[in-house]
Amino acid sequence: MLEGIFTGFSTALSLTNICMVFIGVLSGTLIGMLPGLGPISAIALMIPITYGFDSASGMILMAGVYYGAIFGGSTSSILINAPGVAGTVATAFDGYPLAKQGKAGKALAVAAYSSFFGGTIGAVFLLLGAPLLARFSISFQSADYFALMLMGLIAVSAFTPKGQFLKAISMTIIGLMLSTVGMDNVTGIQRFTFGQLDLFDGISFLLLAMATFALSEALIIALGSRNENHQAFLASNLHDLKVSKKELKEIAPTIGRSSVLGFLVGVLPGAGATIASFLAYGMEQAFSSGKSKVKFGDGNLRGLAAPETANNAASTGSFVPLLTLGIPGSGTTAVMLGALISYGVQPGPQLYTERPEVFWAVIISMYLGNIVLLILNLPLIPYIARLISLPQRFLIPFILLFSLIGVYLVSFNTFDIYMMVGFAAIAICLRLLGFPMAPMLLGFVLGSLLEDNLRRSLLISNGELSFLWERPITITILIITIVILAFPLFRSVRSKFWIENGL
Amino acid sequence: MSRNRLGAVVILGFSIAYGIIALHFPVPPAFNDSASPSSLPISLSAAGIIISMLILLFPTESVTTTQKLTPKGILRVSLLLLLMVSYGLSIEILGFLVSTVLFLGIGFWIMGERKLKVILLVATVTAFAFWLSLTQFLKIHLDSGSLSKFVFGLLNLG
Repeated sequence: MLEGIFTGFSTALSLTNICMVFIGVLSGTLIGMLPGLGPISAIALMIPITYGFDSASGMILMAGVYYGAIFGGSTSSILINAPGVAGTVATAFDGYPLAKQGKAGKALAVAAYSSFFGGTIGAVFLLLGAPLLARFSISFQSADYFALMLMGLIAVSAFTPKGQFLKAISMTIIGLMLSTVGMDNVTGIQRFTFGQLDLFDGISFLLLAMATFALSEALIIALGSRNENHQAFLASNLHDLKVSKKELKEIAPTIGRSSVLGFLVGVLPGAGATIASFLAYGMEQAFSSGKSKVKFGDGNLRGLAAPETANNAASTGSFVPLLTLGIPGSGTTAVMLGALISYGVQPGPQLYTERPEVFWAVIISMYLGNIVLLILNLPLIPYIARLISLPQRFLIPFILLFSLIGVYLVSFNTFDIYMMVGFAAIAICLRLLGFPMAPMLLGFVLGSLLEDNLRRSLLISNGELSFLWERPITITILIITIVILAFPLFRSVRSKFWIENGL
Repeated sequence: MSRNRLGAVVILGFSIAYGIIALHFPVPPAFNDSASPSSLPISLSAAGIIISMLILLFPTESVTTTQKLTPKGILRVSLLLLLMVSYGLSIEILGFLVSTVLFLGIGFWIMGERKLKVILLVATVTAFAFWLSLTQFLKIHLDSGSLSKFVFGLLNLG
């Protein structure tokens, strides 16, 4: 393991890769800061740029973008109460009141310190936990992988807000359906191509991610007139980033608690940064009932530190299933998986043994990303925060152009542009109807892997479904999946029953 | 019909159509029924039908989006979608540079910018900077478009 860590350090600490971390964090912050655009869009927008890079550099850049985008989201949450990402909604609860009191600089500094410690503690856990899980998962067979993917897909839907479960599941199924378009790898039969040559290779992952996230998010902003509330932002002193010793002492226990909670929640498939940040906020409220001078929601520093720490620790935690099992547990890590596959790297237990430089470099770069975020990004915040006040009338056409060019320059095929527009239009309608997009993307990314493992399992068991209960690991994972599946269904049916009976 | 039901009906229709197409995939003799190319699609179609029926039977009352739809907003987005399709058409005819200037310029106008000088300046400078960095620094060949080839062809003939 030590040898791996050294390999990771030597790869991540090369001049090129340090530049990658810096560029990634900075561009992630810039994109994440734009209200409406989250880490998925940020990563998708950066994928075309990294096509020429080697896989380690590409992934290091992506990890930086991920961190930067979350921090950028926190910045817009604090300054204009417009979280760019669901994971930073809880940040606005106490961050925005602080900005309104003219303490935006302090709030941003607390957010940056919390993110740094959350991410760093998360990176240490990842460093220790990922190799253990990778070694264990080497014994996994096709049936186990099939069960794991099924669990990931179900879990990402089960952890959606109340009343969204069925919609999320239906979007997962749509994603799986879209993944079957193109030539079948095993038999060579064309599926759902309608004789269209451009569909023979299937739908491009980048195209789908750009259309359903970057394009549709930008168009949703264009659809309504955003309340551009820059009052707190303009009134605040962004240059005063000082946090007193007393304040640091106050938030230290919060950071410790929230890091552990955030990491553990992040490892769970489907949970991720949003749930982690809300849980940490709730936990902190419970811990400090009556003790704090400033009420939660009025600019309490612990109320700001808790969700910020937890969302960064959870983001690191979500890399555990991606790197060790090759199974993304969230929309963002699904985009990461897509990026890795496009570099010719297949994450999973083999990554740990066959490509240790990529495996370790990504983990080490997580740590570097946190340092860059703290020492370079934070002092630059007063300047780059000006981007928030960039008028939408210029911003939207730029985002649309970046997205279109990003996909067009990969294939030089205008059919891709038309397909993007079509997907974006459908995505806007579905978003307006309350259907989430992240489960669709996860379904799409996992679709072909799921089918490969299902087919392999069926071939081994002579077409019998007995592979589902023959191995203890498979049956254990499936039982957990059924429990996860049953809970929201039970919740939904129960509330319907209560409403109908007037209870 | 509520928003939830409308979405469920769309997914139901899509799942049925997807399933019908999947039923007609040929099964090569070497593959047993369970591992054939249509196995997963048919299962997905069935799952899609069941889930959309469940949404229809147990609709949740609240739609989480807070987006207000105004005729102006819908028109703006429709125009932007149309503009993107036009960009796909124009990039092959007018080439990257001209179509990007037009795309950005018209995009700014659709989004509400009315100062012609600003529109022209920002669109031209950005498009040129893009074109320069792609062709000169990243060494990506960008086609000049069929129209310019035709015009230059005519000039050469002349």
